Amino acid sequence: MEALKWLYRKIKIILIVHWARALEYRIVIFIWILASTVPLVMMAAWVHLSTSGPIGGYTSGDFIAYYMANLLVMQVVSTWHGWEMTKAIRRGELNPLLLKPFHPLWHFGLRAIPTKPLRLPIYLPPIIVVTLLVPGVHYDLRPIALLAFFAALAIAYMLTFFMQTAIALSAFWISEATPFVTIWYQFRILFSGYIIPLSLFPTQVLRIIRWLPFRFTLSLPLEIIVGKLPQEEWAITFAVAMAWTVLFFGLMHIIWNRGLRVYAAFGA
Amino acid sequence: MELRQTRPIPKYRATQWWKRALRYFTLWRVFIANSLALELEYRAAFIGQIIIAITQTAWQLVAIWVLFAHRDHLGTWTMWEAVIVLGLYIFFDGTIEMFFRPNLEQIVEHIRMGTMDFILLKPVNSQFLATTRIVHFRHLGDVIAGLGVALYALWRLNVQPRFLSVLAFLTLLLAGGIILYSLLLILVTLSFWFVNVTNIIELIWSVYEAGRFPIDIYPQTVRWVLTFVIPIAFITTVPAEALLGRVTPRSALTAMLMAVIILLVSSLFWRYATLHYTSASS
Repeated sequence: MEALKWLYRKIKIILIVHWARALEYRIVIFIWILASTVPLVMMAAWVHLSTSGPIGGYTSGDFIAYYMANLLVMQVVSTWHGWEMTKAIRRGELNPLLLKPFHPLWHFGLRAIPTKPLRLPIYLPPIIVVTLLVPGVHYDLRPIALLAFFAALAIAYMLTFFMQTAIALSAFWISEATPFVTIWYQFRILFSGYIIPLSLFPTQVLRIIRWLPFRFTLSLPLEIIVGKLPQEEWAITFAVAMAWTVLFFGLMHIIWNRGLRVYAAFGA
Repeated sequence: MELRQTRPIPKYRATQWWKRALRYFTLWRVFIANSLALELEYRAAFIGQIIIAITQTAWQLVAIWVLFAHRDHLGTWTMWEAVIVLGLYIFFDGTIEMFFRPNLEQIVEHIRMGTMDFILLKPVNSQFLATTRIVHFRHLGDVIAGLGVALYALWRLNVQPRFLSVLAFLTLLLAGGIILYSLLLILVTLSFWFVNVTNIIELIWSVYEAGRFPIDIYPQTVRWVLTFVIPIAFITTVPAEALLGRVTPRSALTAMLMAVIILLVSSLFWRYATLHYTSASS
C-alpha cells in the first residue's frame, strides 16, 4: 500500500513538471498539431471518390467522420519519445535517470501525457462544428460505446508506448537506431488506419493486418467511435489488443534489462 | 556622427558575365564536394535514410493502390497517372530535404547566433552563399525514388511522350523547383525580423502535403488557394500533366511566369533584408 502511494506521488510530480513544460511550449505544440494535414488530404481524396456512392460501407459522411476523429485520436494516443530515447541512450543522458529511485521508462512514458489537454481543444471544436453542419457525419455516442472508446484509447496509448520503446531500446546495441524507429512509425501510420481505414484494404491483406498490433494503436478506438465495429466483435478484439499490450510490455522489460547490462555509460 | 556616402559606389565588375558565372559554378562544385565528403563520414545515417526513402515510397504507393482498388478514376486521373503526381511529390520532397531545407535552417541559425555577418561580408552574392552551401546527399534516395516512380508509371501507361512534352516537362520541373526555392526563401527571410519563424514555416509548409494528389480532387476554393496563394499545383500537378501530354499552354506559361516573378520577388526581398539588417556584431 505504501509502495502504491509512493508511486502515485512520483507520477503526480512528473506529470506536473511536464505540464509546466507543455504550457511553456503551447504555441509550438499548437503549430505542430495543425501541421499534420495528411489525414485531411486523404479525406479529400476519399470524399471525392465516394461522391458516386459508398465505398466499402463508408459514405462520404463516414469518411469525414473517420478522418476528423482520426486527427483527434492520433493526438491523444501518440508519443514521439522513440527518437528522443535513442538519442538519450547514445549520448549517455540516461545516466541521471538511472540514478533516480524511479524506473526511467516512467519518465518517457509520462512526459507526453500532460500535453494532451493542450491538444484536445484544437480538434474538438472543428469536429463538433463539422458534425452539426455536414450531413451524414455520425458518431456512435452511446454510453457503452464511449466507455469502449476510452478503454481503447488507454490500450492504444500503452501499446504505442511499449512498441515504440521496444524498438527504440535497440539503441543499446546499434549506434544508429533512429531509422528503425522511423520505419516502425511508417508501418504504424499505414497499418493503424491513420492513412486509410483498415477495412478498405483488399481482403487478403486485411485478413493479416486486422490481427497485427498496429491496428490497436489507432484503428480500434476509431472503429468504435465511428460505429464500424459490430458490438459482437468487441470482446474478441479487445482480448487480442490486451494480449498484444501485455506481450510488448514483457518484451520491453526484457530488452530493457538486457540492454542495461551492455550499457557502457557513455559520457560517464 | 554618421558616415554618409556622397554618391553610390559603383559595383566593381572586374570581369565578363560568363567569367563570373563560371566562378560561381566552380564555387558550387566546391560546396558539393564538401557536402559529399561530410556525408560519407556518417555512412550509417546515409544508409539509414536510403532505407527510409524506400519504405516511405512503398507506403505511399500502397495508399494509392488501395484508393484505386475501389474506383478507377480520381477526378480525371487513372491510377498510374496519379502515381506520376505522387512520384513528382516525392521527388520535390527529396529536393527540398537535399538542397533547400539544410540551408534554410542554417540561415535561421546564423541570424540567431549572429554569425550571419560572416556570410554577408564575403565577396560573393550572399543569397547564393547562404542558400547553396549545404547539400544533404543522404536524401538523394528520395529524389531518385520519386523520379523513378514517376517514370515507371509512365512506362506502365505505355505513353510515349512527344519531344515537346518532354521539353515542357523538364521546363516545368525547373519552374516548380524555382517556385519552391523562392517560396521557402521568402519565408526564411522573415527570420531577419522575427526569430521564431521556423514553426510558422512548418505550418505553412504542411500545405505541401496536398500536392500528393492531383489538385482536381479538391473543392474549388481549395484548388484556387493551391494555385494562386501557395502554388502547389505548379509543382506536382502541372509537370505531371505535361508528361502526359495534356498540359494546357495557359497552365504551362502561368507556371513559368510565376517562377520568374516569385524568384525576382524573393531575391529582392532577400536583398532588402540584408541591406537593412542590424547585425549582431557592430
